[in-house]
Amino acid sequence: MHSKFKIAELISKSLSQTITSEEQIELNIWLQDKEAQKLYKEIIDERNLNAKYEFYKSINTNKKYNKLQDRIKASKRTRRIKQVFKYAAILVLMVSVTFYWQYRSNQQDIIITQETLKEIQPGYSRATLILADGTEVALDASKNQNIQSSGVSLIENKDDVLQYKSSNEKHKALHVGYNTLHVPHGGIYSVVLPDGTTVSVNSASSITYPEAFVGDTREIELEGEAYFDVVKSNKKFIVKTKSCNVTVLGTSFNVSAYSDDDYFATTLVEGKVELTQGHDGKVMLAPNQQGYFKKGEETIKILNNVNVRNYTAWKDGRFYFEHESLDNILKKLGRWYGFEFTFADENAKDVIFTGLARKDNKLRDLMDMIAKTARIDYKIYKNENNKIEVEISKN
Amino acid sequence: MIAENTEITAIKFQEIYYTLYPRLLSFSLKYVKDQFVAEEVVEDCMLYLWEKRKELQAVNNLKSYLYTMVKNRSYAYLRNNHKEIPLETVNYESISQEDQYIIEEEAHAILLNAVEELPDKCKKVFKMSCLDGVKYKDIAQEMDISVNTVKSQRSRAIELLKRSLKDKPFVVLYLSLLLKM
Repeated sequence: MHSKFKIAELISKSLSQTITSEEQIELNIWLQDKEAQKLYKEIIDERNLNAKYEFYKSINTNKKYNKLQDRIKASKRTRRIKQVFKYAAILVLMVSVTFYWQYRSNQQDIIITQETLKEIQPGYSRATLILADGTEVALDASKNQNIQSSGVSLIENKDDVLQYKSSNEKHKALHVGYNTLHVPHGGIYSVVLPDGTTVSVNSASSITYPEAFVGDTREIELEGEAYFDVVKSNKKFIVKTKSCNVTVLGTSFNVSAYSDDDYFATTLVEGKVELTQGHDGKVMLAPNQQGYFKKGEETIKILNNVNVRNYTAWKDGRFYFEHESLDNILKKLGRWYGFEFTFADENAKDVIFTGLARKDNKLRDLMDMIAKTARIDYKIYKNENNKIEVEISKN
Repeated sequence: MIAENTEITAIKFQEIYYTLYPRLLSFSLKYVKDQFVAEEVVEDCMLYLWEKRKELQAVNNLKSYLYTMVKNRSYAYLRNNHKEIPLETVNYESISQEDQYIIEEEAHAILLNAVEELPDKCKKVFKMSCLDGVKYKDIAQEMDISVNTVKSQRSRAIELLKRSLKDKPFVVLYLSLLLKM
């Protein structure tokens, strides 16, 4: 078996007719292979040779060398920053790839102190419905039920969707009660409102809505995150949150308004929405735009060309992170797997990740991958309040 | 490669650069299909070689090492930019795609570098006669020299090539070219 470099040398000698008879024999042995013959023909083809000759001639190696020297001479500081960027890029790439392939590593080198916890399972479809009279009904995908409310609606719970059937017209104007759908940590649920609008409600979120939309507008309240597919109607549909209100006629959009996040964001998939904040903050959003309001700041920022998929992946069983800090990622994971977290090493908070992962992974699989890539250690244990806690520390 | 692996000094780095830059560029281009990107890939690899020269002097086949680094970084670019990544064909072909690329690049580079070093007249005769397959008579006519001169220039070219292609470590191979610049 010849090395490829030896073969190349023999071919170049044969081309220049400077090959010795012993070398020719060596080359002939290699050429017994069909694949090798094909390659040899291509290499000695004069068109290829001439093209390569012209290509080499077109390269200004001198200039490129000087350019590299300039780069080398650039101050050490700049170089360091560049390197950090480069490694960050490599890191991001590694994460993308490993996330994508659902990387599973062995779990031997993970330090677990205190109580060893069994696998932390991902969340699943579950929620609590709070009726107008305060009655609480536990919902999950396994039970199909009809819920009798004190009000006017017929509510059906079937396959992780709560559906409000058209209500009795006669009662409409009389008394309309408000219901709240509360989705806990580790839950997700969907509801079809009386007007046909579908709302997917993310973990640790609640929406409150009337059993029938009787006024001039359709108003609902949201705490946390939800994805809306609003049915077109002459009545405006208004999503109220603590910081901003979103007004639409009919469209699809995502609203993230967690009280423990320092921002509000709404991302538009299609149609048109109006975003209001306070008395006079008001912007219009077009598809693929995001209205972003940082709490404590004055104005709503508009981000263009956002990747909508990132913001709606959660409802389709995916985590999608794009340039997101570990701090934010753990917040999202914590809502789904139901854990609290602390950073023993504050620097780790700002490690940036990009990646896609399935939400039905076990927590440990995800954490192992993150730990390996970000070079951190983690521990999972029950804290003094009997809650699951993830602690991140330096590797 | 027989090059002794001593320290990678600035001079030696320069030799490596001038010798290998064109072929590594051409090699990367086969993957990334964009000259601007290929230039960046190779430049990054060379910068890496310079910055890690102390650790890398222990690498026993630097050329092979550089080809691998250029390939990996070309793949990284493709992956990072969601371009199609060519699949390795090791399993059903006797020579992997990567090896085919390297053999082609090396054969061309070694030969063409050596040809570049020939005296002008020699070079022209050799190129036309051996590489382009032009007949002696036509070469003589085009260059306005006798057929005998064509023949003797051709033999001289081959003699010179024999010398320059004789198992030289690749870094030394290019020294004469460096001096010309």
